[in-house]
Amino acid sequence: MPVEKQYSDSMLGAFRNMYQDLFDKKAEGETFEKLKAILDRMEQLAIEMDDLSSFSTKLTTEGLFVNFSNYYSEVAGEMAAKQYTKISSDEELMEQTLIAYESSLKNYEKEPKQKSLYDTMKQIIDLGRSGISYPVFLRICEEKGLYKLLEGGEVTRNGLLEEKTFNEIFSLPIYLKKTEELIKAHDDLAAQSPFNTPDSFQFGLERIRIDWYYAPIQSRWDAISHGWEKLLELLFDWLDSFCDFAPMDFRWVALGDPARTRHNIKRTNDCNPGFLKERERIFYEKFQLKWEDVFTHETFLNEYKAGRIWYSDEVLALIKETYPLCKPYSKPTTELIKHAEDIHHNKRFQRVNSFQLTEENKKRLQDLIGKEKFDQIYGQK
Amino acid sequence: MDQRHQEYLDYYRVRMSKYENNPLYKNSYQSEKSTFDALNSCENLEEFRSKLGNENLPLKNAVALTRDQSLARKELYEAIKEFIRKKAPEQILEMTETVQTVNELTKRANEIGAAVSIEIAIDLMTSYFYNDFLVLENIEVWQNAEIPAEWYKEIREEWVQETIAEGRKTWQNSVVPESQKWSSDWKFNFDLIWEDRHRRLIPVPDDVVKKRIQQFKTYRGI
Repeated sequence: MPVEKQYSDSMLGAFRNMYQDLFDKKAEGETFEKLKAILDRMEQLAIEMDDLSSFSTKLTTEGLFVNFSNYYSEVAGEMAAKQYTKISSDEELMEQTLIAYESSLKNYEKEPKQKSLYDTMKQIIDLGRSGISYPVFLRICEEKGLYKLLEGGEVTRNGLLEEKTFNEIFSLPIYLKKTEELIKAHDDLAAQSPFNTPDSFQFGLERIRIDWYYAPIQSRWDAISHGWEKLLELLFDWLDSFCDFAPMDFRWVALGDPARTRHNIKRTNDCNPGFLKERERIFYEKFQLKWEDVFTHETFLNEYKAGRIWYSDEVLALIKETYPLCKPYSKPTTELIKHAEDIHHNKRFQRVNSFQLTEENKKRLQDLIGKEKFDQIYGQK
Repeated sequence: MDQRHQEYLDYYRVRMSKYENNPLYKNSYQSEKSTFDALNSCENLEEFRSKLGNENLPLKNAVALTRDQSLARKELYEAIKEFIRKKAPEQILEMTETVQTVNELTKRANEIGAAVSIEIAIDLMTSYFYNDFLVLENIEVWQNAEIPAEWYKEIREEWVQETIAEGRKTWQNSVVPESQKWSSDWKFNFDLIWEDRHRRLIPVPDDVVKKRIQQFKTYRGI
């Protein structure tokens, strides 16, 4: 079965367009034939291969992407060179340059996020059409940093600001710090530039360095969060497994098999304390953190503040109360069990509005991703 | 000097000055300066056009910029110990010493980038190890937890054995064949775990890593 058409189209679309572009311009010759052979090979693989990942791997390992790009550059370069040999004056050179910019301008016209690029390109075209000579045009473009602005510094910065807002909305502190540092690096480089836009290559290096710095910090953050989530879950399940609702609860129910359900409940009764102690040992071994460190740890406090702790405050308090009793071969007290049953029957186990955005953040997210996308995700009409 | 000659001279002066005093673009500055000096020493633009071709100045400028950027990338990757990624700028720097045309420069730089990106993809397969930590911890908990003896068979034997059997099956039937699509003789390289670029992303002490390596070998049947 071939790779699904929508995926192969999205992967090969750009290459098909590039081929068509050269074909329309009446490209010919050995290199163009090689380029066509590569595109044919890509199309053949899309039919022969049955999954996207293998298809994508094959395109890379056979060097099809890079060879296609190289042949495209060669053919387009030769065609441009032929065109330029026909040009005998600076005036013709200027005209060709401006026609190329005018053609690109259309691509930026309808995209609001590319407005700064559109404005810069328009400025370049207006400058070229102002009656100045070609070398003066080139010089002013350099002096005003118009070529630098075309590297898209403002688009990059706007993207970073959006990323920062996203990280604020979802309370992702490490990602937030990273984005703030990227914005600072961007602004520092812009401040050093006479055109107030950073050298895109230098900013690329900064991005690599900052991504590299934060990667292990994020990794540790995620691992610690997962560690204490597991401890809370073991305690919550253990106490609930002694309650009257346990035989009906999805955590233990084996449909149509009451004996199996009882078996599942007993396993949690008997084994969760041992599992908890072992998990605590591993948690300490990895992070030198104990149970009593959990509730003051920055990862817990952040998740709590962000509304991503599923358990209500009453359940959290009960979990803390249960902890000293959760030892191998022990049981919770009747009072704890009664309390858990009361919480369950009155549906007070889940934090109100957990995993919900505040009205303010909903509005911010809507502004960020657009109403249509927001409604798709959050199901609002 | 006629007006057009002067206008081109002004343009090349601006090109040169944009790299001036920037330590990252030392080669580019020197190369652009040579172009400016060449133009400045010519009687007219016709002579300069011949000089541009005869002395291959556009190639020299392209090579200079490529070298500046490759040197900067090489230094950064060296500093952060990303030794696989460092191969691309290193090889590009070597290539710039023999390259004959701008087209060849672009083509070979692309080829080097593509070849090294495959090496990077293969190197990143080292993350299979840390990705298994959650399941390795589950196995450790089931094996070591203090539980009543009546649960030993189900938890210490059945759960553990079923999980390991599944881990080995996935490894043999999926992970290895998929990885070998990138490199036909690929096999998991345990030494890479200790390379800084991988080790720094595993947020646990060395003793735990050593223990997990043994567990990973058992779990995946390596």
